Amino acid sequence: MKRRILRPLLVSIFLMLVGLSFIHPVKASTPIVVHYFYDESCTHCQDARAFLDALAISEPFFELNAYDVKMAENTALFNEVRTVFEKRHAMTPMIVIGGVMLVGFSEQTQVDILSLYNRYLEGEYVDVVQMIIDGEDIDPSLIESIRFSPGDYVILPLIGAVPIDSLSLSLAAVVIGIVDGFNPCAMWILLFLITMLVGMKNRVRMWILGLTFLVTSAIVYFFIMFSWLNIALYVTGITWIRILIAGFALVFGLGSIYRFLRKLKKRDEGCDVTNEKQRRRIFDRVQKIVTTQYLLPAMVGIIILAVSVNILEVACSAALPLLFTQILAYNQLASFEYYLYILIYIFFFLLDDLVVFMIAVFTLRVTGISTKYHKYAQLAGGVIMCTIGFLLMFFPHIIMFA
Amino acid sequence: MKCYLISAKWCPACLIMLQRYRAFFAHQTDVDITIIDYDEEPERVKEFAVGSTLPVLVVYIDHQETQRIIGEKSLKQLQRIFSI
Repeated sequence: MKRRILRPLLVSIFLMLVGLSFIHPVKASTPIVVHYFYDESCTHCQDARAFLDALAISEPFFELNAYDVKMAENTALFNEVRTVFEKRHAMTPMIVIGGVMLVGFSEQTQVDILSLYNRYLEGEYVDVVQMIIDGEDIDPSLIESIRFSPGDYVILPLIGAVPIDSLSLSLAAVVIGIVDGFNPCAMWILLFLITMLVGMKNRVRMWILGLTFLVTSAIVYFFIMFSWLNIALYVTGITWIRILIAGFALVFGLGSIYRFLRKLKKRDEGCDVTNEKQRRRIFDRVQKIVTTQYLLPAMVGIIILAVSVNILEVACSAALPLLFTQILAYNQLASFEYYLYILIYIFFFLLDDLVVFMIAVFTLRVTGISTKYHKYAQLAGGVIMCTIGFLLMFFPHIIMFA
Repeated sequence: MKCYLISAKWCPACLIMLQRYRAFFAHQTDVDITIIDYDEEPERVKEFAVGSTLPVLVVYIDHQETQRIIGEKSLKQLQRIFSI
């Protein structure tokens, strides 16, 4: 009796399972809406439109919503979407699929659109722009990244889980910042200042004036990099500017490697005496400032000195920070993230100065960093510049970490 | 042995070599080192016809220049130069 009931039951379950295995797990019963923000006068927008129109015909679940940002009713939405995605500088063409925003249009964007469409066909799909239109609150977890799905993290000892995209940019900030910091242009004035301060044997004055110099240098460097970043954000889509910057990086990189090779042949390595007049003028100013009796005028003098010296010296070490801001511009980040990466860069740029300053304050002895480190930093800088130049020229999508 | 070290406050290699020479000659009582600052004593620097690389150590024995060491040198290199 039992067998009579059990056998047909087992056969039915087996047939049901076989039947279920033939059902393809397509999740998208609703279409994937692609929100496309454009400007009639933008040439990249026309290319993007042609690509999106073709997809709308060939892909059954692909739906296109286009918004001309010059039209008053769309401008508000354009601004609101950029605010929600924390990309207030984003220009047209701007495409939003689910929780991902793509800015600009290139071969890489085409690959990204297809991969996002396929990702959302088979995975969770939330139309963030539609939620904005409906006036719903947007949970920050809905905003995603194109290259990495949420959950693509690496676990670092002591630090814990770090998103892969931010790790790549942080690493770039640390490495390029350290190499840039070894540039001797940035070091000589600080050494002179510290030597003068050590001679006064007043630790409090040393702390205050030394840190004033370093903090002012950091602020000046931040504003210089910030201005370059803003320019870079507006020109990233222009191919000839990208190629021009890549060419500039390659020329400067090869120049650095050539200077390193020349130094290898040189028998006597030391400090090169250059720009005597300018140096003497700055030294006279430093001497006056350091020997000023009152602290406040001395601090004002140091601030003015740090601003002028950093602006004068920027031409000497412009290549690496300029390229780093270019990398940042290629990675569409939230505004605060841009500032954060610039701050990380500046901290590591000033790290060797900080070490020299700390040693001087605690031991009242001034130490220099050996010429050989400057020499190898020049080689590293050259290799980094050539690599970034090469990538910018031929494979720009590789430096888009985020 | 009389040595003149031409160095500058802004030059990292000079700061390194100043300490290295002091340590190197610390146990030699017959060595006298005079430091000449490149920026503060330009007239004296001219007398030594220093080139474009600092620091420069000019060594005199019996009022005769016997040695000129330019730039940054390791302790091993100094031992070789002075045959110690």
